[in-house]
Amino acid sequence: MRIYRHFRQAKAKAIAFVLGLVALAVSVLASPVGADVWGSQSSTTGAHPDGSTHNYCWGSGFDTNLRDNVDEMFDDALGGPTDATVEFKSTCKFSGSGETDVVWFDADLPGSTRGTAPCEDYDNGYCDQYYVTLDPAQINVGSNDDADTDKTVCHELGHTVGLTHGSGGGDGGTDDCMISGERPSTNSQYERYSSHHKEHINAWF
Amino acid sequence: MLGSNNFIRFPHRVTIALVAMVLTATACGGANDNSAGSSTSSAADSDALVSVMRSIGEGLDYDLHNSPAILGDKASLTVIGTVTDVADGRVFGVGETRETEPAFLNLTLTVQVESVLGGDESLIRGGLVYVEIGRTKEFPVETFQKATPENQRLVLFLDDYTEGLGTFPIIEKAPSIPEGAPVLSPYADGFLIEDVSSGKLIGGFDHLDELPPAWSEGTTTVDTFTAEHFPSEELAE
Repeated sequence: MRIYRHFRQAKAKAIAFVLGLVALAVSVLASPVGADVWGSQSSTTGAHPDGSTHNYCWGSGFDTNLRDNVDEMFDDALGGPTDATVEFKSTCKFSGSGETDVVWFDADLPGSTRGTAPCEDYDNGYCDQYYVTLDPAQINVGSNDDADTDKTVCHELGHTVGLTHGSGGGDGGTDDCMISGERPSTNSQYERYSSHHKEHINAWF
Repeated sequence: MLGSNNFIRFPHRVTIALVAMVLTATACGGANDNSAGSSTSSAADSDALVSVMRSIGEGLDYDLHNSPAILGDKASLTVIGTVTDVADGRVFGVGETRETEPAFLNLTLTVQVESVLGGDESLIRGGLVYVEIGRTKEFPVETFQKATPENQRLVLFLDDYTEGLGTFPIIEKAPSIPEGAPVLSPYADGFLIEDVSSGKLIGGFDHLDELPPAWSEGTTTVDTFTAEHFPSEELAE
């Protein structure tokens, strides 16, 4: 009888554990955090950076008209609202330990591309360095050029902390600066990260 | 003892299933994880190329065009063609070699033109167009060579990219591009891959279904795509 009572108690605990897992699964599936892809851990865009201070520098000849936008997005979209710490480096380091995390360039990109953010150096499961290239001529097509620049800078910066485009509507997909192309409006949400994306960032840094 | 064995086995199996369920959910892939490019049912060979292109596409922020006709009007040249060669491309940078960073790498697709759907035909040299695609050190040319099946057919909306990045000079020429030949680069929504197995048109940087609806209208193959969107050019060569 005693053995049987122990068995029943253990079985009850196991069932409670299983039910707990079910509840967790249901809550996670119902959460907006299920809305998009967090860093792919591949060597391409979406790769995770290291979890230390996210620093950046100006690449050769980086357009002085874009620098304020980059500073602003590092501070107001990433450094302020999330757990990530950010730092500007006056000199870019391209090799060895302590490579600058994000190097900013401007160029004439092909077609209708506004910006790119490939991982340039992938090492030990992390992206050591991203090259971010902006195409101001394409960004400035249409109106609200400064707002469009903020959106694209925020977008590419998001790639450097592991965010991908996501898909579908709503949180994590289309309601912040990770939306592709022209921002739908000048609403400030399009130069910030959604709560969903901030959860991802905070979990990493 | 029989009860005890059942006790051990029952929660173990269920727990594994549930843990897998939880991990799937927390991985944030969900039903929207289509951008990884593995969701198509195309043949393995074109899948590999699609996968590579999707990886590159994920890093692009670009303006979509609402229809093939709109992009066709904007593109320097629009063609249907077959890839005959994949090789290293031009290198832009600041140093004498690609070893001095920053350096911007590319690869070159040589494409035998089958039909011209629009644009400036003078950009074609000897029946070929030279198509440049940006890459990084993490994407060696061999990756593209292995991913590109023989006789891979494409629909390409191309931008004249002979001048390149502009802000950085060319420090290495592309070995497969003849001197003086125009260099073209695809619009991000203008690189469409035909699945070598099924013959279906399945998109490139983005899946055809992820582009505005007009792109998919009446489109299953290169021929139906052409008939729907470029009817006057259907039989042009």
